[in-house]
Amino acid sequence: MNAPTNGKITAVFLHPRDSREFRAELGQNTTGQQAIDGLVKNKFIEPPGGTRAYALQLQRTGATIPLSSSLATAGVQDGDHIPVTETSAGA
Amino acid sequence: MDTNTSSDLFSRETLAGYDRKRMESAVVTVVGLGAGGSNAVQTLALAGTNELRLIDFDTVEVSNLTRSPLFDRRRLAGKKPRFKAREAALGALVCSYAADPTVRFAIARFEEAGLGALVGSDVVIAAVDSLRVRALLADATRLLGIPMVELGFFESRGQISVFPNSTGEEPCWRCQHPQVEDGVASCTLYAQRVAAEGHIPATQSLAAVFGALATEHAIQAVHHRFPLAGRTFFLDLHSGRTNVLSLTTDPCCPGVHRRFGEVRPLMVSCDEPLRAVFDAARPFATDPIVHLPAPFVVQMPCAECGSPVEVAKPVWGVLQPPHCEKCPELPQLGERGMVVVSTVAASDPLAQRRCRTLGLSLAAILEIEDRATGVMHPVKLAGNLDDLFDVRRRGGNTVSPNGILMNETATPSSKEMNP
Repeated sequence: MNAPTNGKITAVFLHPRDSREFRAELGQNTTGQQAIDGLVKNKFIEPPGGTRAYALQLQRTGATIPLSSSLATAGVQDGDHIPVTETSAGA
Repeated sequence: MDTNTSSDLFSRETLAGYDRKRMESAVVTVVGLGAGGSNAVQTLALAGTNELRLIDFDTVEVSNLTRSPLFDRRRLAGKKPRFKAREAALGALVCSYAADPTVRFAIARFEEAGLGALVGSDVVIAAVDSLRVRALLADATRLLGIPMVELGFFESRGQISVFPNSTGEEPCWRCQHPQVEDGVASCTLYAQRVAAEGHIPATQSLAAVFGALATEHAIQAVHHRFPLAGRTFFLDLHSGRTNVLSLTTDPCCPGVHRRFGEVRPLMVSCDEPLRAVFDAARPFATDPIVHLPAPFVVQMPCAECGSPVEVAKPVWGVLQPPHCEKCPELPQLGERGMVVVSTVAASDPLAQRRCRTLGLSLAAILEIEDRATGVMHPVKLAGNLDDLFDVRRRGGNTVSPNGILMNETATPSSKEMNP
């Protein structure tokens, strides 16, 4: 992985349902929740609600990125791919 | 063919590693008897699970029939409402291969039934169609140290997760979803959101697949095996795409990361005032404060003019938006201006209210904090499982030997749990 430059990291978010990607340059202190909010704001994913919730996965390790943690703390490195997972309450 | 010889009956399951002794004593609770939950119940019954506990407040709709194999269409022909929990229970009893199956059912929201309904379960399957209630179940099972299997699906995709809940340090469901609101919302509000997001389709195949996946991991949990512990498995039936997410503990998780110690039984009925709980707690808590299992809504603003309206119900009992006497009813519900209480001190006027009106049912489990020491004491009100559930066993007059339901009526549950 590349070392972060000028305090920013570039991450590639993968859509939960299809093959779309969203490339974003983020501050290392950006939290997982802020990242999701940004994806919603940019209409990459629909807003979460009573039946839908999102989580972020660091593809390199398969682990979740805690939404309260900064991406850097969660081990996200420049160029990492981050699948957005969608949990449904449909049952 | 002798269908009663257990060794032959379960020969395949035995080869697959199922232990008959464990299954003959297994207790599995399923919360939510929609398409996913009822498919899980059917498979659990076929696998010979000894006791099933089923919790759901909802009624059966025609559209449920094609996805819920346990609902007998002949029984649904009348005009009387049929409850999912009851219908699933009767269907499970018909198809169960347990030697002496017990099926308990509660026509109630999980919040009404309370933690007492889960005590003694080997595993809980969360198949309820609300993220908020899943969060409550995640906390409840963690506190009680009961494994939880969660399933959910949407369009062609779905997921299951397994939480062994053997320690407080493990990642919990809420670590993954800390943004899910933690209770100050009503079912009406939830329903409005669901409607705004559009109908959730659930096909037969989707329900069968995810019901079966949840069942397999519930059976593994009965055997104290957790091959999917702390992970979420995603599957898209159409594309074949899969993903396994390893869950991480969130240091800021709003959920519960501890387990109850010993639960003390209190000889206090839910029909007594809450002050009786304080009296009973004096021997072990010098300065007690009661933590209610669900927030209690004292008042809310009128949905139209905003003036305060007394509500006085547990949050799960707030089904309609309040209106003051001057305003007509509007289908809107706001959360601003709500006065909500989560703890009650002995000197609080709420301590004079009956426990039941505060959302504490028979056999309710709640916590008493000793403010002098900071120690939390979990306690259980008087009552037992038979107070929470209707129970059906084979051999009574409910199911005949050829599997035809007999003498079952459409009356609602006799268990009164509404405050």
